[in-house]
Amino acid sequence: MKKLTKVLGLLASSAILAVSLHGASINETAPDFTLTDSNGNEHSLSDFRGQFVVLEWVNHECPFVVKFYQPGKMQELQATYTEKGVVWLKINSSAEGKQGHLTPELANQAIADKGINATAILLDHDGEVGRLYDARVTPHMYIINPEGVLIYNGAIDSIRSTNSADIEKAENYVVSALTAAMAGEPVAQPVTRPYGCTVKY
Amino acid sequence: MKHLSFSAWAFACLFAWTAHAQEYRGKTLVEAQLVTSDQTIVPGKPFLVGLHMAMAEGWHTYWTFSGEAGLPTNVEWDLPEGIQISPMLSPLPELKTEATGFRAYSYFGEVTHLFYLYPSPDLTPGQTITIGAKADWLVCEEPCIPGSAEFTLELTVGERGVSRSTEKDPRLAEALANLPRPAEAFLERVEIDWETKGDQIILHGRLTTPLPGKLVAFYPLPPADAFIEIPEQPVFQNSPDSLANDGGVVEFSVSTSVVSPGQGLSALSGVLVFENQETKQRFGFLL
Repeated sequence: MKKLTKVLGLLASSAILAVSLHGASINETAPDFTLTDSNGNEHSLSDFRGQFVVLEWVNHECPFVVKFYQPGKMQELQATYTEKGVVWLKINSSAEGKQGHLTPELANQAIADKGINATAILLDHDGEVGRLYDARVTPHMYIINPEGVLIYNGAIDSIRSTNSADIEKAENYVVSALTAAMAGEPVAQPVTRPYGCTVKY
Repeated sequence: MKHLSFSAWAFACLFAWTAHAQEYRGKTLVEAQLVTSDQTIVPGKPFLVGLHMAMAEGWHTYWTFSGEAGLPTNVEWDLPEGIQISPMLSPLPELKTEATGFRAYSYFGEVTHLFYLYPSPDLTPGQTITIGAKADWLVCEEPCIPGSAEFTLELTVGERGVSRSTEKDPRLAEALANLPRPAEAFLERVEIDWETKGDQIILHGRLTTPLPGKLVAFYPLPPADAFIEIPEQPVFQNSPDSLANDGGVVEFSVSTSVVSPGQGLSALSGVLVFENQETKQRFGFLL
């Protein structure tokens, strides 16, 4: 709790105000949820108190997602941060019959084919968790700190394109936010405009 | 330069630059082409170039500010010395709700984005100018597919002082007619104040009639890194009767939520959209 006070103090001193979105507000406790992963195991956000958690909304057929998976960049990020103890959850909110819908089998196939290094792929086929977080696009990224507070909501990086060549030129907001937060510093840009394909609810 | 004979002129009007078709699963989603009214540019005289895009039925591309979803069309130019180009000028889009429930500023059917090319007065008549362009866009129905195309324009530098007064290509003429115009220059009187209240940014406007129709919306053009919501419908402070009165004043406000950057935004540029209630024709005025 002491740490949380410190973080909030830093945020207040840098004059970043809490930004309210439907359901999930920056600098407030992230809404809890429970979802089943592609192996049939249940995960609740609250299980991961004490760890940083990254939520990545995913639709593997979306060109903005392909931009990061084709050259292996998303897998690289997942490996880097899960090795540091970060929990990385991919959430699939594509409804049945919609683009990017993952059955448990398709999700596990994707893990094998693409070399996905996330902690788990969670299936949110009724879109309940997506709507709870107001997830708009794929990839839409969220970061929750060890105290369970939402510290980042937005785009994966600063160049709104489908071109993989832009990745190196862009600022990766998830990396910036995790780097700052893991060093006990405030996140400079806690909310950015997400870009990508709309979530296929 | 000799004056072109009528038949040569007619022939010049019929030329067409190469079109590019974006194919997806056996279907053409977008046919894109550069359009000009002429192949001859005049030193020192602006020359209009359009990027014409024809979308398959149900598919759409996006305005400069795409809204809750989407990505704007973008053109990168490869210009030789002596040629400059304006920013992209886009016709008024439509605000539509997509299949996924998100609202976006979109173009359905056809759209022509415009650019003014500025040839230097020092160009030599008879010289050939080669201009390259790379267009990128996102086209969506329910799925979204990125598209891109590269184009080349081969233009001849003509004699000084000879210039066209009207655009012969109907696509250019139509796009010009649908471009939002500077509000200050075209409306009788425009007074705009901005107010910030929490995460809201509120436009307070006073317009003097006659107006080209009823004010129906404000389409914002936020900075690229800002994250704002689509503005609410305009709220009128005075009686709707005054809308019809010549010389009357229409007072209204439009509010928008700014998600990010919290307090960094104190005003927005954008387009006031009017609609003629009978013809349904829409007019845009740039703020």
